[in-house]
Amino acid sequence: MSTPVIRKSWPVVALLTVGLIIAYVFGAIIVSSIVSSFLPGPYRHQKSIVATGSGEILIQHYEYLNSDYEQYYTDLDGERKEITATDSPQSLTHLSSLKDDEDYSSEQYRRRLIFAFLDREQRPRKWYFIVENDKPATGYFEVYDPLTNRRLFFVGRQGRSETRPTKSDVFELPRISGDYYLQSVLLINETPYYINGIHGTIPSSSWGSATRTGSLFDTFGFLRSGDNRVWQINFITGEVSPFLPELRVHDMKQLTLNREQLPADWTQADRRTESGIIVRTEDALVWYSLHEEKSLRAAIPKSLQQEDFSARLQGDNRVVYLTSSDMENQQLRELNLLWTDFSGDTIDEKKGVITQPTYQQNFQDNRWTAAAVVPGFLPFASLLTIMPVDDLAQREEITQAEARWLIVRQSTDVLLTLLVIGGLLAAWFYRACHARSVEFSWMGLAWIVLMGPFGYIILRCVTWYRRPALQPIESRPGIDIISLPQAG
Amino acid sequence: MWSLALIRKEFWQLLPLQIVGLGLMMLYVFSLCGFQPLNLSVAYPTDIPFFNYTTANTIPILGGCLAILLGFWQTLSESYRGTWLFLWHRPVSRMHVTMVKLLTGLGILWGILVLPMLVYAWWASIPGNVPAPMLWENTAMYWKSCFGLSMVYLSSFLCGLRQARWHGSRLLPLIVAVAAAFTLLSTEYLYTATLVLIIVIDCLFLAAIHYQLTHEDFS
Repeated sequence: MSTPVIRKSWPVVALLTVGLIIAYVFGAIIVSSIVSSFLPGPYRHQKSIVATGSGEILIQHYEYLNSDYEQYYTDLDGERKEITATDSPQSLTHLSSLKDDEDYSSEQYRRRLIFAFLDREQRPRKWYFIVENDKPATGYFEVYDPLTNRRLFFVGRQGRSETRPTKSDVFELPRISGDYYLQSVLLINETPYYINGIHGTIPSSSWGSATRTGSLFDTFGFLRSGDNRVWQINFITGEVSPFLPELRVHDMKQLTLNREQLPADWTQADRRTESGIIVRTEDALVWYSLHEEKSLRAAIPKSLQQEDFSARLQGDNRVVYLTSSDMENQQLRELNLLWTDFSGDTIDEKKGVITQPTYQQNFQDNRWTAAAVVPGFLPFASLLTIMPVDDLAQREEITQAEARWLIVRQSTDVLLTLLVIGGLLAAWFYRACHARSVEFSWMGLAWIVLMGPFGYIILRCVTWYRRPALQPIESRPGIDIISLPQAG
Repeated sequence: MWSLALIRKEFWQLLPLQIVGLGLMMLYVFSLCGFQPLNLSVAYPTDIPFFNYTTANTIPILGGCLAILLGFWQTLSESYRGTWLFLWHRPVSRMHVTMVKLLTGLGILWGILVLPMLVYAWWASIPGNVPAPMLWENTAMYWKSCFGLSMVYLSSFLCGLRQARWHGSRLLPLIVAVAAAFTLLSTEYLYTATLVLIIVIDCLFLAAIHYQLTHEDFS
């Protein structure tokens, strides 16, 4: 009899193996997601620090179990506080120091990003801020007429021009960090906005962003350049001029303050809120009112001048800073509060107000997904031994060793399932080897039990290739195919 | 010329797919221009040229479906009609015949995806047509998508050639190509590196096709 032909080559085997792994992982993730959705989820308790409109600093608690959740607030001593609807708490404004700006820009990033918006003319014109991903990133504006669809002009560092700004005329931008980075680079509106930098549509009047509010935003936009300066772009004339030229700005955000946060004699106008821009310089926070065109200045304490922080201007010439510090040898950070006056002198300080994980560890409800990605007893057990458990230990107030033992116990069902799957595959392999008269070792079976499907695939390929060399069909004599009995 | 005859044969066999594919492409291109052919209405263009979901996602997905259909159509039609043996017994090698089939299929795929978009890009660059910048640099991602769909086409061709079971391993190469296409064509970083990877994966598929041609029993 002829030897059965195994039609495989390394390109084919590689494609089939990779295809099988992808199909398996994809299917396993779907199945485990479905299974997980029917299982009870863990209890979670997240905390963050917020400030009410009146300036009180509170801890926001968010507890949830499966689809049930509860949100409530406590003061810094843990006493529960009731919040009125008009006193909605808000996060403190995050302001980065220059040293921590991440550089995601890449010369390999081919496209130019286009950020579209409207000005506040009666017939709003279409503005596009075009970012070229050079190193450093640069940008310029293009303006289009809504009726003729034709380009009206460009705006570069030298102001309005009829031709595309040259390399020397474009705005050099701070280092790029994702889609949201424009919120601290280009300010055009009172409300925080999201501009999608990946795909865009042509802005139309239905966007509703062209409402006049009486602030400088009716006429101007503000652009932070890479040399730490802010430029004022006149959306009507296309002129560009320095804004607060004496400042070297490390970060910039739009920030609306309410009356309680402002001095009593700040304005005569009957406005509940005041639109403005907060900038962080090397040693100060400056909030500039876009209605009154005057500013508040608060010195940053020396200890925070090189740090990232969130801040809130309080009404009584005070500033509260929120900082975080990593806890030693743990993937946790503690949040600290510091109250200072406008001259930067410390009034009060609270360290370790709350602790937060640096990333959320919810392994219990993700264990089936993890098992789908690492579908073997030994790889999964290895994962359990190296996985960080600091958050769990802190949450349950137990030692690290106890936390690790806890996640092993929580994953017993997964470990048993993987062991059963490995055993079934080993039995399958044993039967197949017998049927094909292929030699195998007991070590191989143990390998499959411990390593699961991938171990099976790898061993199967290796074992099968011990068989006789293949012959192309053309070179095989016809008698091999027909398998005629030998004469005599 | 046998190759011209084969190209003509493939062209006519794939004509229904070409008509459907080109028709769908034209619908999308017209909608990018602001014209809605299905309800016969003319509005203004709403998408920034080559910076929108249609050119980044929708058309490449349409192209992927077309590539799969082309690859299977070119192989399964020969299998079901039993014409492989007729082809293999022409006085040219199997690889030559297959290369002509592959080049014809890729030519049709790229023709359908590239030519209408070239016309659209030219139209969008004419002042007054679109109130948004038309940046030729931004078309690079689209051309990369078109090129990358060759992986999907070649994998479909390979799946069509292989005589494995449909519920077994036959479609596994297609899964590799689809996963690779999603990964490599959606990223905007490492443009050159992703192009090189696409070429490497294409070579892997070509090697696998070559092996199937020489070792598959087509009788």
